[in-house]
Amino acid sequence: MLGKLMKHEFRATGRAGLPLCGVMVALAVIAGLAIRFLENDSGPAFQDVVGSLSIILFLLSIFAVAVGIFIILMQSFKRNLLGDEGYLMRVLPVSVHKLLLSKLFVALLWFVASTLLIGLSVLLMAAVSGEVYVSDFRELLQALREGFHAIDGVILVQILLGWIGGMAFLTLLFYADFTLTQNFSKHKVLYNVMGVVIFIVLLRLIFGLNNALDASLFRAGELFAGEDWTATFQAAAVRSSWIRIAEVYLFDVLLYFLTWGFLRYRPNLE
Amino acid sequence: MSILECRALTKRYGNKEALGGVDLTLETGRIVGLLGPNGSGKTTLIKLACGLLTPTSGEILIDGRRPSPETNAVVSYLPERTTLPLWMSAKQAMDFYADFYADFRRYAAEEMLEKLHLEQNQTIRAMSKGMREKLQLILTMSREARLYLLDEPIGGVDPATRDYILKTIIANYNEEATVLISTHLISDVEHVLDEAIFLREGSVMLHETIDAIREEKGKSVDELFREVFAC
Repeated sequence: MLGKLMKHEFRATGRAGLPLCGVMVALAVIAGLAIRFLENDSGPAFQDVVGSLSIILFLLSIFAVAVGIFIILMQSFKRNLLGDEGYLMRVLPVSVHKLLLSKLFVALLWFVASTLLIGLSVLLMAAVSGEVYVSDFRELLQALREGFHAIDGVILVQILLGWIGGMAFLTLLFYADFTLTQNFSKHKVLYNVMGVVIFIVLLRLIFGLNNALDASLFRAGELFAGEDWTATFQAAAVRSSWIRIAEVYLFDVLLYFLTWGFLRYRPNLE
Repeated sequence: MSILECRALTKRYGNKEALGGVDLTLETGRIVGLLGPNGSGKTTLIKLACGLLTPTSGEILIDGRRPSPETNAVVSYLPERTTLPLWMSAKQAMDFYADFYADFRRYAAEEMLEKLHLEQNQTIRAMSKGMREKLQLILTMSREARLYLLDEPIGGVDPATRDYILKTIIANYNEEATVLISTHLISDVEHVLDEAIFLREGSVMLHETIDAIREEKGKSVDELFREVFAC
């Protein structure tokens, strides 16, 4: 059933998300062409205006994809589980866990796909513009490969886990906020905003405590006593990052169960 | 054997009591009218049975179990509003039902769509309010459920379609299933009902068979309703 729910969610969000991505790719090509063909055209002023405009439009489309997809996903959650469509979705013979997880998994897949697509669009624009050649891509890939080898594998894992955990956190924060404020009959938008603000203030507080913890970690380590300063510093940084990642995932779990609890025990489709 | 049971079922919205200590049992194989004026608690009772609301106190049982994904598998619910995503076509809506409900009879749905002149490729957004209601009813009645909960199924359609819908309800429910129909249009549904429940301000005023009402009170259900709920 989870697979079927995900299929339905992809179908619902893809209707708006895919055209948005398509527009971004198209604008990448147009921006690349503008840069390539206007080089030898009329006057430099015209070339500059059209070239700059197409690049600005492309940059705007990147922003539109990043923000637009997030909005599409959040709207889908609200409409599908808390709005009129909730009368259809919440009487399905599936558990609230499956309903919630299907939305979360699809959201994460969208974030990964759109991030990759944004990167590929930038490369596409560069390739079409003729400013960058295949050999340049080879060099870029080689540089990336060397860069990854130079970085400790643990740090790469931390970056990946942190990014996924962070995106899940952002998604679940809005899910929880929407679900909680559904229980208010009036001023829902106001409570939505207040909920996010309160949560961010709490987070700032926790991160402040984290900084204090980090400071003591670095002090308590053999930072000043050890002989290999870099190695000791890196070890302390890795330790500190693990704590941060664990915190993010702990918040993810808390927000997930907060949303689940309200959907399960206070359905409130009044 | 009972399919739906309410025990001292109470639901409050803030200070307002929508249902107050309702005790009710529905047996299998019956078509039951849930009748009452606006705000009497009809929709609340149906939503509680679907698990869309939780009781303030008391309990509601479907086939002996509290509302859950398991009971959802045997309950077919028709809400009083459009709940299908507007971007879906009738065909996609059937795909959706077939995906999630093992008891969905696609051939029955396709047959009814044809009879009611609804096109499979037309999107719900492009349908009129009446067409949307027809489609939702078709999907609901195309399931082989044990309990059908129909909230105002004939409210927004013309009299000819109303007749077709009532015929559809009778033709599509099996004898081991129970149909609970909430409506104001009593005279239209009276001839298909086996039992009637009168709800007033969240309490059951009357729960009788239609025959008993006619024999004992000497009135039709519609006449009795107008008398009981006269303003």
